[in-house]
Amino acid sequence: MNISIANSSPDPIYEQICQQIKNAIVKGALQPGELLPSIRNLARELRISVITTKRAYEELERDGYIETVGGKGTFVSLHNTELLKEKRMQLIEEKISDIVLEGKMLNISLSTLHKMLDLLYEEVQ
Amino acid sequence: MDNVLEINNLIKSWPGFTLNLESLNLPKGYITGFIGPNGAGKTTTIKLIMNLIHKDSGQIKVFGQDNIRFQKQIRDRIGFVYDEGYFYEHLDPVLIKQIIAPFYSRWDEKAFQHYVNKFQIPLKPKFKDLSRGEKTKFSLALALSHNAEFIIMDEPTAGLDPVFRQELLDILSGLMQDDTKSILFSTHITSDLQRIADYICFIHQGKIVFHEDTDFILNNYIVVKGPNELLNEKTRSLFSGIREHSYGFEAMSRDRPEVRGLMDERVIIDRAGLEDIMLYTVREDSRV
Amino acid sequence: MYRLIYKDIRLLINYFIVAMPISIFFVIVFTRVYPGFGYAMGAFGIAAMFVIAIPSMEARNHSETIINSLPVLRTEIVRAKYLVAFLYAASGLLMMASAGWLVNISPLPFNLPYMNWKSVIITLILVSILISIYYPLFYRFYNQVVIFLINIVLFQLLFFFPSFISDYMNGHIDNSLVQQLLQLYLYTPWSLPLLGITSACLFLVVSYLFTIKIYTAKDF
Repeated sequence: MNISIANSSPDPIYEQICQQIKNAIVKGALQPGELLPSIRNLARELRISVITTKRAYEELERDGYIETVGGKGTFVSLHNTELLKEKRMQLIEEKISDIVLEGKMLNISLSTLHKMLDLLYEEVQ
Repeated sequence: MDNVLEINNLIKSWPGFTLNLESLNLPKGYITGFIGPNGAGKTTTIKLIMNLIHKDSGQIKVFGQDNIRFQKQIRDRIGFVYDEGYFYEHLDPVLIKQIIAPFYSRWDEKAFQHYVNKFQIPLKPKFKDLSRGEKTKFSLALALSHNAEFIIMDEPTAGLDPVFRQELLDILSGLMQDDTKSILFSTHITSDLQRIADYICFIHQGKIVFHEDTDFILNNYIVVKGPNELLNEKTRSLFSGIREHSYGFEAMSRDRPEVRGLMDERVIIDRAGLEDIMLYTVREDSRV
Repeated sequence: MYRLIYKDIRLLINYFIVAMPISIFFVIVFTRVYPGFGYAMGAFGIAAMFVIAIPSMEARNHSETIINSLPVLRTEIVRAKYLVAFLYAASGLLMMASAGWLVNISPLPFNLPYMNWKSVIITLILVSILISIYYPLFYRFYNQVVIFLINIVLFQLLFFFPSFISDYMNGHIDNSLVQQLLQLYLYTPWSLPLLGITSACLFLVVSYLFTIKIYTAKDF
């Protein structure tokens, strides 16, 4: 897991952490059920206040990304597959929109795009 | 939430200065930074907590107990690090430890050895021959070797270089891996606190200006800069420590959303660091 | 509280070492200058040195700040100070006795008298008076200059006090009070030391109470 904090960013630090952890989960860098560092450990490594990491984890937990098991620690949510799938679908939709936009700018027709998709679907493993 | 320290209506005056803390509660398990300019009352407050000086009125409770009635029990659980060495100049660290260790009921010799090695404290030279950094590290090693639950530090990083200061902060950070210890750290070097403090208490001219969590401070306190025309009665009320110069004004506000709403794109809004907060607050107080 | 006594002794190790040659010097000189109580004056001199050394050092060092930050009560600190003074008196006596014995068995051309009970009692009384006056004054004024002056005055007083009394009594042998005291001593030789000890104890108690009050109220 990789977390970097931008001091100059207008976003509050806890939000940056939330965002980066969410991304990591969605992209699969963090697997469901994986153990996350404790809030104090994270605070120490990032050299920020425990309150900030606590807040980040609280929000992530509220949104269903992570869950805390008393006495054991904080883990990436297992029951997240639906949510994750949705998020991933969203990502794909966004990417497709980008492709459609590009295509329209270059005057590529829908059928050409379809053909490209069919070809690549066969090729990519 | 459990408070490691509770101060109520604490008053101490002497000629030219009065300390008046209405209420100060430090939650257990966190690092609280105590900042303020020199002479603001930080050392006085710490001395009052340790019962080195006598209060005029008010109440101080540590671990839930009155700090005068239970001073012996309380001090057994407190590790202290003061600004100056104050230890016996002509003795070496080992001898000093041999004198001090017996006073504590939960002295941990293994822990002391561990810290001596970790901090690389020389044991042979007389205390007065140690460098400033080594003296501080030694004080800290003593403070950490008797299972103290509350560490009180008065300007421990003054006179130390940035490299060593970061080392010290990392050490403190490492202590906080569970919530059994609490740290009170007074300093006028704000950059240190910004990195590790969970709560900040800003004291000025003997009074508490604010006591918030660092997260809130960093997210809401801002420094605003813009053209002078934007200052009117309404906008002035949002700011403190306003400085108007030939090319514009700069001020601090703790109300980011309001400022965003009232001011237009001609202003620059930056996150306020603790040092900014201190400077603008002091400026504001000296106006009034 | 024993930790406090241990602390003071540990701090004084250097002084103990210096005191040994000094005791040799004292034993040779004082047995001549103060016939009859030379050992007492020597022992008192050594004890006084110890008594005065630590508080000044701690004040200068600001070590009081550290000691008072430890889990220890102010009353305990004061109590330890009074008790340790008697340890100093005992050390002084021991050193003087050893010094006298050493000088006598050495090839040096001196034949000194040995220490006796009188010396012990006089030493204890003198040390009691010293700390009874010194401790409260020291903690009340806590100022280098003032303390220095007090040291000088006190030292002079206590060192010349016994001889002054002796000479005065010898010079005014016809005085009724002197006569009464001599009669008392002749018939009941133990009454004079008893009087001395009782007065010293009274002094100590009063002084102790004063010092407790002063020290407890101090701001460090």
